[in-house]
Amino acid sequence: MKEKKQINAFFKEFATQYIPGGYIELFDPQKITKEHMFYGVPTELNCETVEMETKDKHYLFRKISDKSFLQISAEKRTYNAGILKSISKKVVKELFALIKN
Amino acid sequence: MLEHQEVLIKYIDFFIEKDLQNLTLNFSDDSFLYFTIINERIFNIHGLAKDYAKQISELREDAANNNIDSYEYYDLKNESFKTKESVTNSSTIKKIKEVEIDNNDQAESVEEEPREIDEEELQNFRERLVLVLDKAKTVFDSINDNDESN
Repeated sequence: MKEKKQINAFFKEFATQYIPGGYIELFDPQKITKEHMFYGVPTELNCETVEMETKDKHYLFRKISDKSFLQISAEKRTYNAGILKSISKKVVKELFALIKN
Repeated sequence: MLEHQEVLIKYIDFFIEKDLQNLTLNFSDDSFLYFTIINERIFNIHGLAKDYAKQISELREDAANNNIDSYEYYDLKNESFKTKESVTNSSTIKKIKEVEIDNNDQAESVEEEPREIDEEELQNFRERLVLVLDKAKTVFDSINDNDESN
C-alpha cells in the first residue's frame, strides 16, 4: 500500500535525521504482544501521552486515535525525555502535513 | 478512595513489572500523574503540567530529607501502600492543609473575569480541526488495519 510505504519511509528518514539510534513506530495497542513496552498499560485513565524510563532507555507513547499510538524510544545516554517529547510533536505535525498533501 | 487506590495499584504493578524508574501520564486537561522510585518506595504525585518540574523537584528533595508524610507511596520493602488518609493526622499534613486554605482564600480574591470568546472564530477553528483529525484518524486506522491483513 502506497500510504503505508510512505509512512514507513517518513519514519525511517525522520529517525535518521532527528534521532539516530532511536526508534519510531506507529502501533495499534490492541495488537501488540507482551514483549512490547506498552503492553499492559492500565486503561482506566485515558491519557494523551505516556512516558516511561527504564535503566537505560526513554520511551514516549503519544495517542493519535483509539487504534493508533506513536512510539519513540532512545537510549538515555544520548537523549532525554524532553527531546523525545519535542521530536514526537514534530513527527505528528509533519505526519499530518504529509497526510494532508 | 478504594477505587482511586485500586487504579494506582494497577499502575504500581505495571511500574514494577516493567522495572521502570519513572512513569508519567499526561492528560488532555493539562494535568499529569507521575510515578517514580526513590529508596525502594514508589511515589505518585499528580498536578498541572505547568507545575510538573517543580513538583518533581520538591518530591525528590522531600524524599532525600525523608519528609514524605504528605505523599502517597508504595513501600517495596514492606509491600504496603501508604495513602494520604493514613497520614492525615501528621503535623506535615496539618501544615499543608493550613497553607492550602490560605491559598484558596488568595485564589478567590484574585479570580479574573472570564475572557469573552469570539464564537464565529471558535466555530471555524473547530470545523477545521474536526476535518483534519478525521482525515488523519482514517489514514492511521487504515494503516493498522492493513498491518493486520498483511
